[in-house]
Amino acid sequence: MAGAAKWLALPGPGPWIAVLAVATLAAVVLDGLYGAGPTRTRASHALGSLALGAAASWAMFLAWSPAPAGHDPLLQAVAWWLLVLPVFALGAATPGVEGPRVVARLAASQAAPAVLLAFTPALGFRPVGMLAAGLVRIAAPPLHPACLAAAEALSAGGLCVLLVAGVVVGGPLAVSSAVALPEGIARWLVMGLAVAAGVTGMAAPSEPHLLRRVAAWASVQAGLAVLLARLPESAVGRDPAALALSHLAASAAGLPLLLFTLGRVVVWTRVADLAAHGGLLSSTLVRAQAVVASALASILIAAQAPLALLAALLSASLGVERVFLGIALAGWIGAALGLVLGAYRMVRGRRAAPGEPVPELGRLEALLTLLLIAAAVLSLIYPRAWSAPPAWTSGARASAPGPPSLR
Amino acid sequence: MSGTSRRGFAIRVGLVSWAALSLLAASTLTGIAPRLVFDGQMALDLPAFLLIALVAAGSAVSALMAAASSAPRATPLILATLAALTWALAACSLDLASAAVLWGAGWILAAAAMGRAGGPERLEAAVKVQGLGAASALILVLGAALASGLAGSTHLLEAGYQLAARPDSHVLALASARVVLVGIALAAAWVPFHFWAPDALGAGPRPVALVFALAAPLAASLALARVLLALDPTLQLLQVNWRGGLFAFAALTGAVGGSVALVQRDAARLTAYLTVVQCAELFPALVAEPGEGRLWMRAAIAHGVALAPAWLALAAWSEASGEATDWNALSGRGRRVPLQAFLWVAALALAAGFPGGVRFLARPEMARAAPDPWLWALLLALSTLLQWAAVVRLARVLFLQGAADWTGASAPPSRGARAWPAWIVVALAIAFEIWFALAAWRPLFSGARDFGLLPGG
Repeated sequence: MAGAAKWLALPGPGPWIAVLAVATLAAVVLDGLYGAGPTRTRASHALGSLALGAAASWAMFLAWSPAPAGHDPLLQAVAWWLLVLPVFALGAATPGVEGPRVVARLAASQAAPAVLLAFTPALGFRPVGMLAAGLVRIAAPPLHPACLAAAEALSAGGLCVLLVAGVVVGGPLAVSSAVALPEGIARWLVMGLAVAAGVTGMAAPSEPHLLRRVAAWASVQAGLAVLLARLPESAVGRDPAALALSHLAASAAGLPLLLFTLGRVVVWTRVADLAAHGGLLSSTLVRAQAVVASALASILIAAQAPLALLAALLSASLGVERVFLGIALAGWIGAALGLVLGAYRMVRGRRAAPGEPVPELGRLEALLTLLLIAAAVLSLIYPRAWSAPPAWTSGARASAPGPPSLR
Repeated sequence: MSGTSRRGFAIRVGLVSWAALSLLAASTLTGIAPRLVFDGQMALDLPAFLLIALVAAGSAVSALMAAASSAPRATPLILATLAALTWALAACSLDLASAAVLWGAGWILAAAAMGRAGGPERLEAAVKVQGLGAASALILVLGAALASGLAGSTHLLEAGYQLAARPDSHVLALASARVVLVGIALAAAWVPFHFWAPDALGAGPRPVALVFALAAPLAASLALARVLLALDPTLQLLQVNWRGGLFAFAALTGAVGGSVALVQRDAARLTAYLTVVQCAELFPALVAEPGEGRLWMRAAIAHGVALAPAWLALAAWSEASGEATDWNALSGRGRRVPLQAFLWVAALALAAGFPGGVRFLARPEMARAAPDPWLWALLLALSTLLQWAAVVRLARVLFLQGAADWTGASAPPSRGARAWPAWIVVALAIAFEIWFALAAWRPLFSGARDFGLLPGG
């Protein structure tokens, strides 16, 4: 009981693992109960999502463990490497040619952050190395193409766990490392992330694939979270690291809601192209409201980023960086617009061809949707719940034992 | 020509081993070997013994694998072992001319090993090995000649001293060093001098390929380490950025080898190219500190322990089980023989750096020991990812591609049940690698003792 209480204590790994658990539950229900294909395919999707959630939970548990486990980057790299196996299985379980064709790309992209993390001892635990590993893990722009490929290839549930696992495992590391960066490099980081997030977000509304729009949204939020961590406290009015972690967690908590509601429609239509979804929900009132509510709720709970960017833009303490922050804000607006327009098209758009309407929201779906909304809102209203593992803060790193000496 | 029986194979290998040990004992007792050492012609230090031990272990494991195949052939393996031992002696030789002769002899034996294995592909590989090997030996002779002309001696230590003491021949001094480097690079299969490796390793008998994959790069890197130590004063005087040059070699080898490995449609050639990439991972040990043998020994052991299971698995798949290795034949084959396919993929994954393998621990350590850890970390990370992508590609072909059902007459026959000794060897090799990585890697050669590369360095 004491161990469990310690686990659930705030701050700690508990809140992050709770977000992951919610995402895994949504994925298992979506793929296992409502997924397309025979029982075996649905079961394999659900098991793959469960395995990925479990592997990511272990990685989180390890990161928060006391020394020496929590301070050994090689051991944590092992945990990151193990995420590759369930991703391979998820890709393999995807029917048709898309799964096998993309599985190599997914497995390589999931291995990349693990490889980078394993080399951090060689680089003297400098924050740049750890930041690189974290950015690749959370698929921050411009390192997000594999995430978009996953959106096309995986099921909606598998994509949900993949995105959320990436954020909860790599997000705290990315934010902690960004905070520890020297000033000169941090400036370039802010400008680079701002431009990348801006371009990705502004391109999102033109994306025809519904799940790719969601993946682009997730990627933009991840990039903005790291950017927020380097804004001056005087500009944003609160601790930037805490703000970044809170935004990251809220965005991650919104993803299961978004993917569950949209994923049900994608599963029913069997395609994710928005052209096939136009006006599909015009005759199903409750489901249409659920889709719109999920899109708006996801946007609202991720509102910390644009508010902070706006505050920084209006702040006198920043110079030419404000231009870049403006680009980042435009990216957030573009990504949000992509979600809103997609939902609107599904509800009010023109039907491409007459056909059977989507079934109305069932009781279980409604219950789960409400639960996901509640989880997303909770993540927003408890910002102090979100912290980074002590081993990844600069103070702990300085006192951590180094790798064994050869001499 | 049919292969010999297992008993005949064992008798031949046993006889040759007994003859080799007798020769070694005789040369020691009669004083020939000690005289070479004390006269300064050979450097039989701990790295040299380690190299010979790794070659011997590789040959022993290859013999075990060859014995497990359906038609074991002793002659190619014996010739390959002799070639490897000759290369090892060349790496221990402190006389450039003698080393060139030994390298040349080794290449002749290697070509003979390939040719004796039979088959048009192997004959073609033998011609390539012979040609490039002769080129390597001739280039080393040229290097020895330049050194002799400049320094008045082909002895490595004397030449290094004399070249530093004669600042009026900078261009030729640099040229002689570069010529020797090219000769060694040909032996080590570093890009762009790697052309013998894909054919010799990919088309040759697997036991022979394992011996070559172990011996050639290790011997060449040890030889280069001694050359760098001897020429270090000269290179410092001439302000040559030799570390940058070696980084360029490593980057080319890793990037080109890894990229080409990704587009291969045959598992044997894929493994050959992965071996070429892994040869580049010996470079950090060379650039760290001239004369430091400890890093080279750790890198050499990591190379050997990681490489062996991959080639053993390929041998078990292609020779013991009689399965083809091209993509068309492999497509979906893993679903029919899942345990064997899993062992194969696991062996390659550990060699690529998956946790549990010795390379997972060795790579960050090598990057940290190099003077520019950032560059080497980036290079080794890229190498890891390219190798990992190639392994995943193989796993995809084995398990995810092909027809869903393999039943009845449409499924090609497999000797899987009779090849179980070979797969047991593979499983043991994988288990050994994991044990070694977890238990034996960290304390290996640790401590304050100095492991220098040259006598009286």
